[in-house]
Amino acid sequence: MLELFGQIEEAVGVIRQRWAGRPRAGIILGTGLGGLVDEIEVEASLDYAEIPHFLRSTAASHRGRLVCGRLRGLPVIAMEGRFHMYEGYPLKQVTLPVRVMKALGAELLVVSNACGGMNPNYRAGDIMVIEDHINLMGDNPLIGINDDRLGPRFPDMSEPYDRKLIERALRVARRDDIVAHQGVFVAVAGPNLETRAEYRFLRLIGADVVGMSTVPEVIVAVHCGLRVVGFSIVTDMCLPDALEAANLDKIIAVANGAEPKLRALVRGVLADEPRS
Amino acid sequence: MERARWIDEAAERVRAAGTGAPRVCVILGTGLGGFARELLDAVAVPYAAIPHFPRSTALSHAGRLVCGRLGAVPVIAMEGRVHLYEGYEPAEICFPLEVCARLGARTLVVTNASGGLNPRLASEEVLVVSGHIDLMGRRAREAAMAADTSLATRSPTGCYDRQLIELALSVARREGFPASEGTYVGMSGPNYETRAEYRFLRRIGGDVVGMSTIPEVRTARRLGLRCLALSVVTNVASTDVQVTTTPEDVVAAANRASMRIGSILRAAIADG
Repeated sequence: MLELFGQIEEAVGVIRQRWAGRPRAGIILGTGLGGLVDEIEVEASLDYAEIPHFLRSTAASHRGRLVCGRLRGLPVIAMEGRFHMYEGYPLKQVTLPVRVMKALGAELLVVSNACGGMNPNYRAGDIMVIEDHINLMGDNPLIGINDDRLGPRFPDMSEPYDRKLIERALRVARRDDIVAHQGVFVAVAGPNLETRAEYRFLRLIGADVVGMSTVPEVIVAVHCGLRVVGFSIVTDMCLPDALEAANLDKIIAVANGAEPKLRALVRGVLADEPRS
Repeated sequence: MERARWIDEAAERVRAAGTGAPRVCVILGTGLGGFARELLDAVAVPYAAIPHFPRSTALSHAGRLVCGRLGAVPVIAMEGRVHLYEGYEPAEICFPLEVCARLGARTLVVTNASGGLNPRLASEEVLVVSGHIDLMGRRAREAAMAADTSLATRSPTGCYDRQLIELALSVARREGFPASEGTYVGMSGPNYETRAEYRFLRRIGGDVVGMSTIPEVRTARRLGLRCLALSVVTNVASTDVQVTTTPEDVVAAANRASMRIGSILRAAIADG
């Protein structure tokens, strides 16, 4: 992992040439947050291809750029387009941008994802504020020699998602009449969706929703000392006794419908960040 | 086969240090390295001096072989091991053990520090492993262990020797410290678990969770060694109340329990 330090420095160097700002928050614009970029007063925008050691986005729908600017006055840096383990990328590369955000000065990380809902109290279109997670991806971005300059060998994970940020998000949700739960996200590698037996298993072990991302970024965020708030959009319900085949059009429609709500939550959480 | 040659070269280097043929191999895990001092006529060989041995970078792992005897039984002790979370593959992790087996070891006693999942387990208690659940992930399985394709037969009694388990438990009763048998869950780490993960592991039947041991035990069984695995419960998983775990606390708890482990090791070796 010792080469990571140099990679971070090189990436930071290129970004700094184009943007002198110091971000308070790093935002990974996963599913449901893509539109947030329209609310950012963009001061600089870099294609991933311009940044050393950043992965290139190959999926047609993914932009693949880093957006630097201000969100309601708060300096932020946003990843438009993220990468997944199921695409075959090593986790250290998937999560490098998180370390770069930290190196640029970020203090908190906002992540979002699309997920299958398993808790029977949830509905498609609901948002779950991630309270905790289970890593079933079969891999970990911290495996390797630890670079003590980046973080500790054995990070504690008893509270990876910041309690205060969770409370803030839930308060904003209640205020804005948005249905928001708090619960446990289980990450699997994917890319296939799960069988009924797997949904029963995942529910049994204590998860409320399941998805194929986010956990690697959160593990790295905890490692390097970022506060984290995470949001899962329940794009479809996965109840094993009444499982419907996944309908991609429906899933996308649900994600789009939830987008304004998620944006409101992120805005609300960041609005309460003290401006230094 | 290159690996067989590497094992021979490493074994030769160890023999050349003047060590006799061991009967029992002991892997001394986190915080438990002190036991090697009990070996008589001891010869220490640093891993760095042995061809093809992986270098240990983990906290409190010294990184050397100590060959000696306990009573009449010749023992080879590994002070320090390497782990999956350091970036090593199972073949590298298990190389030293294969060398010990080549030198003559036919019993493996492996120790580790672990997080307690079962609420009945308190810090510094000893769990005698009677079964494991491998959740170490794809790296633990991806690399081929060796060109050796001999089938590791499924033992009806599992990986852990029943007699050695009973022996360990009886030592604990005799010495008056709490020990029980149970299931060790292996995770890659290196981070400690989330509360949701602790709940999950307990739910699936884990009694303790750790980041080692399973690759070594699997290799030992493939080589036909009897296995005993002893786990020192260091931190107790708090599934609801947030409690921070630090590696310093883990090592300190393991150190405090080292006398208990020592008494079991002595009995297991005598049985070896």
